[in-house]
Amino acid sequence: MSNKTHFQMLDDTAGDLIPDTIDLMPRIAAQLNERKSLMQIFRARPVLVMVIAILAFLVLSGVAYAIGKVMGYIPGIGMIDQSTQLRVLAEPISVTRDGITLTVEQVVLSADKTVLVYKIEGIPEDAYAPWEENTSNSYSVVVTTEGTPESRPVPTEVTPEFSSCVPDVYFLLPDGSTLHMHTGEGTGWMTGFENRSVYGPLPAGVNEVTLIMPCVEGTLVGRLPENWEVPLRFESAPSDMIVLPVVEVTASTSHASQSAMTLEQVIETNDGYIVTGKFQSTALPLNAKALGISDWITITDANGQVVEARPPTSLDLASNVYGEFYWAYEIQGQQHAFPLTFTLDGVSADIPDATVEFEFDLGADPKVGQVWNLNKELEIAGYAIEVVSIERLEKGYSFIFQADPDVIGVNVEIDHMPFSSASAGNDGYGMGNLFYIVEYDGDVPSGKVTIQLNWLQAEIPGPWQVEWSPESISPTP
Amino acid sequence: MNDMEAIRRLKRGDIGGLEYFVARYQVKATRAAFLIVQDKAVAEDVVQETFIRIFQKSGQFDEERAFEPYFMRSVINAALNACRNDRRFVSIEASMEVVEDLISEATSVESSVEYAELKNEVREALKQLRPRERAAIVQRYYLEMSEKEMALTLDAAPGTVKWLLNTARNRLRDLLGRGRYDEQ
Repeated sequence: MSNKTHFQMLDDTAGDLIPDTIDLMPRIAAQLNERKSLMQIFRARPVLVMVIAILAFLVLSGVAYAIGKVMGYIPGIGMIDQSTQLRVLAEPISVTRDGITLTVEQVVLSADKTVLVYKIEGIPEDAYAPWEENTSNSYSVVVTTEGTPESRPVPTEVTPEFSSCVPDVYFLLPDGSTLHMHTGEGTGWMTGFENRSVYGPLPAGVNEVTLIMPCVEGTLVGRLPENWEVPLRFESAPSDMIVLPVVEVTASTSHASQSAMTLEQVIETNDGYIVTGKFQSTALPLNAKALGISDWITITDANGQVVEARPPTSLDLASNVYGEFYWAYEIQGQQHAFPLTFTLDGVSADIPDATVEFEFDLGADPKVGQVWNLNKELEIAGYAIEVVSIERLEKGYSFIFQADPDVIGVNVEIDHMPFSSASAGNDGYGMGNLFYIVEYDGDVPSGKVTIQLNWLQAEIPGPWQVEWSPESISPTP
Repeated sequence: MNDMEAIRRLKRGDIGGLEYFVARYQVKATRAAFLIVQDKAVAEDVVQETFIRIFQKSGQFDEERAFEPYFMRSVINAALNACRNDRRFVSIEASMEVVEDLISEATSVESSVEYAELKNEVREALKQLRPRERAAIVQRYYLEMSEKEMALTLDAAPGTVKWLLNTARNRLRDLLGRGRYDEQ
């Protein structure tokens, strides 16, 4: 007993009531899943699958716009389900306290979600935490004058998140229940910010709620007025409210890999189109799982001219499927030489199956600061990677790699020993300079060990392409 | 998978990244929260909400930043907020004498029975501390944070943290019995 550390003592004390077997994930997933995607709803309700099949037929037969209003798009709000009467905030409302003004600009209530747009104005500069240096475990890879990459601790900015308010802005219903945010986005400026927050649907009969904002996001706790409460009243949306139709697209093509890149939805706006699509890891080499685009998708017209486009806001596109991601672009203008071609030149991806290992003798008693310059060349999943050096740290080791420029990350394990923390990074310039730092709670590995490199991350080149024109969606031969 | 890979997935909205973090940190986080809020259900809620908030805000997360310190700071903040919003956690100065008595009674832990008793006493004694003092104990001795990191989390000047920590440390040291536990 006498060797117990304070950590162990407190861990044991709490462990009597909080067992190792605790599993919060089901509760977390349940709360997150309240925001069901349209596809999830379809999977859960076979009848709706039939409905979408009919819709798909109508899309292809050219009458989609007539019925496509099941899903609608409101600029600044996002996609909403129109199957029930839309409701909106009766009128914008502002509350000012100590010079800080909270304005609830918009609330839109649909069958599938509640969208809140609010703005904070009047935040003084000293309400934010000052930026300063700290000595946290952040490293960057730098190339020395000798041309050797090495890891060095770098000062990082202390963001306001570390010591500041991250409020749970929620709706309080008349029965005392609450509705909490699912996702959101925002823009900020020197004295304020505007947030668009998405919640689950509010019950149909509830037309009065209280918006609760415990504190002002990003500001130091206690520095500004707290516990904001704003009564809100909703009413039926006006008949002239602009809701743009969302057309589900069911046919698409891909040149590089069959069905990897598909179109999903098209929204015709006042001055262009919003086109959404999906990338799946189908047919990626090495069983790779795509994480996202590695470069912007380029859009060209039938003459090969680049079409101006930008990523839209308010779409909340996210996939819960590993290896799949959504993309979207807002195309400027409606007069183009169709069809338009969307070209994705590459994706960043995990290669979970990649592995290579080697044996190395760290010595019986490696000293902190000791460096081994290995310059050991290896190959993992077909990519060249050189273990440049290993350095003994106080609680573990750091590794420096020089890899194929397409490699953006690699995981390291020493004798498969469980570690307490690990961090990794690259030069950010696609030069293949990588580092990995692994630390241990207890004994640091020593002696003759097996070092395994695994779970590679790399940029996988395409291209993948898909064509689209407003009149029809036709496969590319 | 490592933290950085999980963060990347998190930023893509991949719930697999969240699952990784939940599996890796939920026990430690819930115990840390429990030591502060002294209520299992509240501790679980605190950690659950922190994970959800991080998932929702993952787009703002710097993947080069170590996840655990950031996450644990968020848990501590959320736990302190939970205490702030709950009348049960109003400071109880009058009970400090009880703590002092308990401290003087804790003399040795030579057996598992005594150790079990001591754990109960520690738990009871922690209840008598103010939430910020409990947070100081948890951050320094359970999460092994530096005083500078603690200052950031507690939104207090380093001097205040030193004072908080000294107060809490002395109580804890006396509670555990001088010499019976190794200092970190």
